[in-house]
Amino acid sequence: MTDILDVRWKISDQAIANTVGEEMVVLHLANGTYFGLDPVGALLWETLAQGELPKDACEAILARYEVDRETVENDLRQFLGELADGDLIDQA
Amino acid sequence: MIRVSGYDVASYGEMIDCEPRMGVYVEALRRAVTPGCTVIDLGAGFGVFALLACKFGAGQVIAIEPDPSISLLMPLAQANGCADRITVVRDLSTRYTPERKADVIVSDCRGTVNLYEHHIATIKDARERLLAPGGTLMPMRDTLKVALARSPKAYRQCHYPWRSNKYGLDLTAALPFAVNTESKAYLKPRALMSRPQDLAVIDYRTVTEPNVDTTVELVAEKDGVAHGLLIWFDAEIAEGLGYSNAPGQPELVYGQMFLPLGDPPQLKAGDRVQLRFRANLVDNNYLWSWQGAVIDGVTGAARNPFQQSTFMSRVIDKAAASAGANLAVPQRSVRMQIDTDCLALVDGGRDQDSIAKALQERYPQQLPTYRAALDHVVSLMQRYGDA
Repeated sequence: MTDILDVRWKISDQAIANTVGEEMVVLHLANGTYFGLDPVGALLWETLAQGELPKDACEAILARYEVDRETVENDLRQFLGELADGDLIDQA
Repeated sequence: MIRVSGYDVASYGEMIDCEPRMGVYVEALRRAVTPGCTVIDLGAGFGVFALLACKFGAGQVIAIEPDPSISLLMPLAQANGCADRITVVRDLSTRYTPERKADVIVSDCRGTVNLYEHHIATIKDARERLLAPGGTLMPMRDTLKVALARSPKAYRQCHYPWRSNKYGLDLTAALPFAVNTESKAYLKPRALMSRPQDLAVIDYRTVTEPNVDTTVELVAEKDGVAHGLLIWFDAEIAEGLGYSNAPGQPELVYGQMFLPLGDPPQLKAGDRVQLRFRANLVDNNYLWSWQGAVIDGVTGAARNPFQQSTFMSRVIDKAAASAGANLAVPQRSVRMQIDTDCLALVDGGRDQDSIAKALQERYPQQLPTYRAALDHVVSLMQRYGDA
């Protein structure tokens, strides 16, 4: 079974992101729900928006923050699931 | 605390003085009102359409308006000899239940464009619940239009002071917000770089969907920089009676809406702009989104892509936005407890003075003065429409 971190995702065309500093708020236009992203979440979002894989965001996070790989990967998997459940991302 | 109405009286005066808008509505009412009929003035303001309906012979007129400005109507009705035929309803029309459905419903709940707050839902509800079979709805139909526009003046908000300013400050961090901000404009025909295209036809006799999602192609008819998109509407109040806030028409109170392009493209005649335009009603206000690209008229190559939205014009508090998420877990706060206590003190006999004093005694830190406590009580009661 393919790891979700190795799946290529695309940002939903209903999602619009508003960035202030390192944080981001994403709005789903169709259903009007908001998602607040911290700097790690915002980094993942930008990675997906550029067409890159989630595992690429993992490497960027490991380079920037003092955190172990397993924690980052598990957090990203959970976060990707939330974004998908919120219809903000779809598999490409 | 004094609750200030949405428009001041002078603004209502400007709407009456706005021609040909007012003349068109007057003629439409004159034709539609029959002796003794029932008319609803929806979103009445201070009720000028209600007064006119009486003047033209309506037997009963209901003026519905949640804003305090409706309080002006009865003195005006008395001055015009029609107070006995007018009923004032200070509430949202969606909460009003008529004794008798209306033969005519007249409204102008637009903003700069016809997609404004809950205009569509209000009209839909009125059409379904308040209008008699075969009744007349005014306006009848609006057509939303778009064209490419060249206007250094309208675009100035995107350039100054963000890209440069005379104080030597680097304000470029704010530029992304500025270039996603809509503005009101009054452009002339010479500013248009393309023929107008229809974005949407809103027929108030049938509309149900408040949102718009459409794709159009705008063909540059002359060389120049396209600073943005200009949006307006052609209004049909009744058959053969209408007006427009298009460039070249008499300036109306609505103005036109200007949506800037973040990186204004240099166009040659024949270049095409493929545009996806969306209007989404979110949190009681419309968000406008515009995205697309320029297609070179000679090579067919795409360039100058853009993806913009007025959602990106706002500096949003992430915590406040997250609080609106369905998975957010609210935490009880002292302010919540103050409101809980305040509501518990409302028993139909206690006045706001005694409620305020009780709250001030219980929460001296949060409500350090009587004035602060009273303002809090009044504000909370106004949320429930009791003030």
